[in-house]
Amino acid sequence: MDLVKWNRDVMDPFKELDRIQDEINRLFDFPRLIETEGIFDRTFSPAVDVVEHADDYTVICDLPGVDPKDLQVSVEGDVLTIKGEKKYETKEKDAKYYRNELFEGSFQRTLSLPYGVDADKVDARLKDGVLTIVLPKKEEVKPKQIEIKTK
Amino acid sequence: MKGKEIEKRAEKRTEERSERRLRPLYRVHETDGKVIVELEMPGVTKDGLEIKIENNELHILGRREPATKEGEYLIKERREGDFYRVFTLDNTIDQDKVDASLSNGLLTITLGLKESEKPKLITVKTG
Repeated sequence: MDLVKWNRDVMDPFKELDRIQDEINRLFDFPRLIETEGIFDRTFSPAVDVVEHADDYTVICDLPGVDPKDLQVSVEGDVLTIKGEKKYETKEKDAKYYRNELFEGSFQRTLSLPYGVDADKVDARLKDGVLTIVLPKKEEVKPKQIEIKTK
Repeated sequence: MKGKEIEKRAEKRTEERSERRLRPLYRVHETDGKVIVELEMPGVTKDGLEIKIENNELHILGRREPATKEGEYLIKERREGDFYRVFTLDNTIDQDKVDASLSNGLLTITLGLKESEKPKLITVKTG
């Protein structure tokens, strides 16, 4: 007799594959890993997306709960820095916390920009907790369509 | 089972999976006869928000608009998908006293406690 692992649904091989996939996904399911730089200095780097379009580079960054006043975006040479502080108001001193997953404190993220970004025309917008920075490309690096003439 | 049926099932599963849901980070505290739940939902607007109480469960769904402009991703760290989280409410919560507000991607839900659960001060009379 063979020893076979008991499978509830032998007829459905996808079930087992799904289960494995679920298990692996769960391993990565930590919302955001907070990076620690030192024992006392807890800062975190927010996750970013950088998307290249024909005329610009767009940087998207999730910053929920951040006040525009506490946010600083700067371009220095070819380095983009997103810096700020996340302060959640806790007016009630006697508040009883049951669970707190939210991070509070300062954060910073630096990105080196590709060649040809026009630093004078950078546009940054914070809406619904999402920061969108549009970095236009200089004319010289934009793709050019060359017209083909027929004789 | 026939091959076609298996194929169909596999297709259905992929469809379910394409609708990815993320669990928003949250904190809960109790103060002044209220329970306050705060959830981080960046990119969710008022219209994309769906909050309902069903069978003593508080369901929170925050839909996000996918990126409209297509481009080439050089870095992709943000997770895509809608936010979804369910909380079980116990019977100390007054389900008619639920309030929600959204600002800067932070959703605040205020749940009122039932009158009978609030601490009562009893004055001591002298004499």
